[in-house]
Amino acid sequence: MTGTRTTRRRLVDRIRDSGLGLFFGALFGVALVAQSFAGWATFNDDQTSARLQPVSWLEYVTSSSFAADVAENWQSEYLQFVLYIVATVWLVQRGSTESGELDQVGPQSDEREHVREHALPGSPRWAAASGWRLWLASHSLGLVMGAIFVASWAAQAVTGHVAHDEQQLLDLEAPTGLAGYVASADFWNRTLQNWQSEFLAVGSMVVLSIYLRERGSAESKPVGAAHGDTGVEG
Amino acid sequence: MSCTPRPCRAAPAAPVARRPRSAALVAVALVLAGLASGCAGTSDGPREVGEGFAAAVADGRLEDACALLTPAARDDLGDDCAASLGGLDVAPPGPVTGVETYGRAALVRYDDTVAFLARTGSTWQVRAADCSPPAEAAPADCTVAGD
Repeated sequence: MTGTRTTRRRLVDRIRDSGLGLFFGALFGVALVAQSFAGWATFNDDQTSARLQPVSWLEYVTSSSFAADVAENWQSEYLQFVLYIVATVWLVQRGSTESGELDQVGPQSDEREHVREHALPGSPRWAAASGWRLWLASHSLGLVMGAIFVASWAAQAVTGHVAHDEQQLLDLEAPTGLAGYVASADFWNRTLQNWQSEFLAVGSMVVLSIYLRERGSAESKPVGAAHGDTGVEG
Repeated sequence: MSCTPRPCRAAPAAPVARRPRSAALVAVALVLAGLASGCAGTSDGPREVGEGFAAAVADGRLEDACALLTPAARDDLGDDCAASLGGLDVAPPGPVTGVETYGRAALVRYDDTVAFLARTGSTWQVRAADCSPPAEAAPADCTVAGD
């Protein structure tokens, strides 16, 4: 009984310690499933309008149409993150929680970054390394976010071209091909409508965090912090 | 030294296992290839239907040609599909010279004309036939069209 209580306690602690990731992971799962049903209904409306048979949910979620709709959103999110990660190395915003200190622009010293001989006992293994290992460890966040952006943008292009040309044929028009689609207004309309909203969101957070507060949030300054305090979080 | 009381590692550590990252990259590549090739698709189904439709028209087996049409295309030809098809004087398209498949739609090219096919489940059917070569921004002119 004591062992079971201890095990349950540890599980609760683990869940609590990972609450933020679990919360957004669950929201992502629910939203993706809900999107699949909404997209399926829209797709079948188009099928019916074209006097074709509706498709099953499984046929829809394995289609290029669904894949393109998912990928176009993913690529813009990861572009937002990689630009945000890299921009905050070199650019500052006085008073913003999203900014580093005004006098700390650039990659910073080895001592501040706890690398090489300044690595701590709990530092990631490659923080004490040198050469390409240290470079990889030093840029792993931007590299992975950037890689996911490139992969999802490529997925948007490939699946979007198939979905677009499928619609072209349903309209009795000629397909454009992948090169034609990547140069098309449809591709860039989908891409840019996502980019503008992502950049607006980041910009809003950078500026609004100067003047507004959310008590207890890691994304906010303490309620009583001055507007000019930079890089301070609750 | 900033790593007291325990010493920092002096030598570069052994590289972390590459296999999980490589496997992830391979998985992404396979998914992209599958989505592109599977959706831009094999052409066997549409090619066979395109060839079958052309052969039926050429041989005067207009009921067989009607059986390869989508329900909407058959409905547009009225109660006697074969008679209506005969009345339209659809020219035999000739051999299939190319097939392009995108998702649930396909374009079958003949010598001078094209046909547009659509898929229901795993069954390909002719949606529009005896069509002029299509343009990107203008619909093709088709003798038989179930759109």
